[in-house]
Amino acid sequence: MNDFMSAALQILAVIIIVPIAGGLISGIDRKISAKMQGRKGPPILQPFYDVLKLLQKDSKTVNPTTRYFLVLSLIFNMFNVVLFFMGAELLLCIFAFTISCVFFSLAGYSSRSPYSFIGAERELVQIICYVPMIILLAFGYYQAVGSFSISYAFQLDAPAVTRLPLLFIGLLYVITIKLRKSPFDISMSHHAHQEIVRGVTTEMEGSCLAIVEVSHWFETVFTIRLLFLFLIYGQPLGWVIGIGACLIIYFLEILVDNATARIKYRSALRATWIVVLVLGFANLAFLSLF
Amino acid sequence: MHIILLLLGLPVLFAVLILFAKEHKAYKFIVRLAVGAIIAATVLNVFLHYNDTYMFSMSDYPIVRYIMLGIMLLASLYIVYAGVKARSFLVSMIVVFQIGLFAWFELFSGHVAEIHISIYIDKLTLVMLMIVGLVGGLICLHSEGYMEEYHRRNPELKDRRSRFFAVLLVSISAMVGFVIFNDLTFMLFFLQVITLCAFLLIGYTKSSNSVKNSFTAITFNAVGDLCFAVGIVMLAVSENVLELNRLVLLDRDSSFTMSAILLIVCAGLIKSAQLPFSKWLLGTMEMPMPASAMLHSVTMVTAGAYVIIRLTPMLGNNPVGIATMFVGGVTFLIAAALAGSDARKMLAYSTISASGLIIVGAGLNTPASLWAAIMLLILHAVAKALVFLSFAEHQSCCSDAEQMECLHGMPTRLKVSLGIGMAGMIFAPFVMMISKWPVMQALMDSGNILIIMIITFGSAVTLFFWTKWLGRLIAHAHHVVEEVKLRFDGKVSLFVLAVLVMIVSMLYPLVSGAIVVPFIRESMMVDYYVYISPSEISAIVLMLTMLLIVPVILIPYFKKHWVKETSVYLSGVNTGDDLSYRGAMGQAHPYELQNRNMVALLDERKFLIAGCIICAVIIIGGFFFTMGGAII
Repeated sequence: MNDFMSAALQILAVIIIVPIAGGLISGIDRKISAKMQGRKGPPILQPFYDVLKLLQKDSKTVNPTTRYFLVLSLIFNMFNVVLFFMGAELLLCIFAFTISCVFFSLAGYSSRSPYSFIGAERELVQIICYVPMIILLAFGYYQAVGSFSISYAFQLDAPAVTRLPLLFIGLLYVITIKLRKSPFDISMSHHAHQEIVRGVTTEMEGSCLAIVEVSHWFETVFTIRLLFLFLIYGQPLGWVIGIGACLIIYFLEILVDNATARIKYRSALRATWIVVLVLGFANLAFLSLF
Repeated sequence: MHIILLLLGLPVLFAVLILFAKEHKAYKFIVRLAVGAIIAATVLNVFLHYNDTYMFSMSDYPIVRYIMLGIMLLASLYIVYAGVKARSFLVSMIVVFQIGLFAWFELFSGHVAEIHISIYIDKLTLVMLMIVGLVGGLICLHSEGYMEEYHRRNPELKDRRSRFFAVLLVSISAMVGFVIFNDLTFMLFFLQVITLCAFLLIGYTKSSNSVKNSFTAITFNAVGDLCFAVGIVMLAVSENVLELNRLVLLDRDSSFTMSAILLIVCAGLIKSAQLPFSKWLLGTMEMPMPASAMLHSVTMVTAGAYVIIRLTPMLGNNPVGIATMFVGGVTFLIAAALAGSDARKMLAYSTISASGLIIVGAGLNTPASLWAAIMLLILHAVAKALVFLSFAEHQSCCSDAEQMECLHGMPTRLKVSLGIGMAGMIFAPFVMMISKWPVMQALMDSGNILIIMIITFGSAVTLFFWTKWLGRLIAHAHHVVEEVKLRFDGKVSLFVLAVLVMIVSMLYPLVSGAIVVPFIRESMMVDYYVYISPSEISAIVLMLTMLLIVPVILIPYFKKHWVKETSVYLSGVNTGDDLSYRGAMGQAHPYELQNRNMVALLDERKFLIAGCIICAVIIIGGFFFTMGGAII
């Protein structure tokens, strides 16, 4: 019973803390981006204000099922993050993660609007860009570490990245897509101010958009936690290195976001698949040989 | 009591009955009766044979064998005749060659191999019987109303419905025979009957196109039958083995034996339309939909995958196993990429692609991969039948299911059933993850990186095209959909299939624990358990229940009045029905949403040819390396 209670508390803590962290990251992200663009930028808490404002709006929707798909997407995102922080098996997390992405794309498809249709289609293209990379990463992790278990990473002698350098570079490449950053923000940009008709979310209003935003916070935390998984190891120093490297990587992502222009979806697909193919194959072949 | 013979004989009996039925009204009655009998016999057999392996020797009845050979000769002669009549001499030549081979074999050396067990029913046979009996029966039930509508819509076609139903029923019987027999000669016989039935079904409309397609199909499949025949003759002559259960115990080092096995595998690859042989299945898409459903999920394609699953103990880390795996893997990837925006192509290529993954699992020869292959086979059979029948039902009211755009005019109930079928193929946990989990783990352990890459990308592409179709299905527009009244039989078959899909995809641990895991334990003599730990299973079940519970929780939320409905954004010129916009002169222009597919990135034809060449090279390479030992 005690185990059950502590597990329930842990889950609750994850569900409360993760969106707060995600929102803060998003706020800081906006602040840094603004500084890079020579603007003052919104306050760091702006994402929370945005979501609260969205929640108060009247709801108008083309198809009531849109909300259903969005809620499912959010739930699977939460589930995924909870599993990840509880140290479950990596593949199970990826399963939940993929399902949540598919539901988000379906939410875009659920109205017969040309704009949201194109957005949903591009969202799907994005999914097939990064899903192979993440699956390969999981198998690389299994091969390097000897288990799919996430909690196992805390007992390693050296971070997993030392055995998976190429796959890690590939991961850095594809998380740009998941963080919805340029040049791979082909389905919708992370920054609402960049476009008038915003891809998948064209037909979503009010609370639906709030769900999308919170969902994205969960995804951001998941992405960073995924990076962290490959940097941590059994020593206290691992935490320092891991957190430091994650901060640097996130800063670089913001830099890339502000320094590049969006590319066409075909180029995005081709560019990621070639990277995944070459890096993934080379790294896995290396692992199976040595 | 040999209850199993009931399942073999009943469909044939009803087929004869329906051939003699003069009144059109009698069809419905006979079909319903036949389907009821088939399903009852299936359930009875599964219950009776669940606890022990049933074996039956027919050595006391040599007459049965002669009757079988006689029918086989007649069937072959019919194909030769049809080939000559249609000036498709290649088929005739292949079949004549096969008759010659078998005549020589039966007259001079046929009886060296003694048959100890003619019929052998284990858990895998029961799985297959359930697929054949339940899914096949439901397809038959559905086809009756479909054909009535079909002929009403196409009055120019000659009404030969009774023959259509008879052939459908006979193909069920042939498939039952194919899965229960242990005697390879009988298996060949039933395989030929299945081929012949497919030939008759494809050429049903007698239009020049359908005749052409039926000959393409029979040419490919006759080659498949010939491969099977040559394979078993080689085994009988060299090893004195004509039984499936002894075949898999043969020496895996003998290159002659392995060449024979590779020939039988090739027969399976042709039947399940793997890549260099995929052409025949695409040609079959013009026949009446229920017949397609039968071919895809019950008879031909499933028979091909079944043969390879049966041969699993001989595969694995040898040239034959590696060739099988690679052909399956490459087909899985390329067929998924080719499943374009045309409904019929999507249906055909998705079948080919799914069989490819099944074959990878079988070729790998580990308990976990075999488990994944069988689970996928079951899910594919039920889900694909549901998808086909939903399309069929729609086609009978809108007659043009070619384009995705047509999906939005679909009646809601059909949308739901089609959606369940598609969602089963996307979200079933073992499709998305678990089947890949053990397969990939085994591949990783054996260092087979190339196949890992192929499967990884293949699953991404599969996800892409299924989600795209599901997305088109749920796209909502504000216009009144004409709700058609579905026929009772159609409703029943769709409903039962939808329930089956949900059981197999969501309650898969039940299916797996009841029948698939015991089969693997018995056949591989290992203490196999599903790799996923119980906590993981509970996590998965939790996720699936969320899928079911969440909509129920949200119902009151939807009912609230503050959720106002509005029409989609069309730059302010939406006419209000989400189907058209107002042009500069105020007139309404309808708009269409066209899909991109993977092929937008590449030339479809070149891609297909490249895939065919790769797979052909792999198969030839397999033969080369297998026989290499004998030559050197």
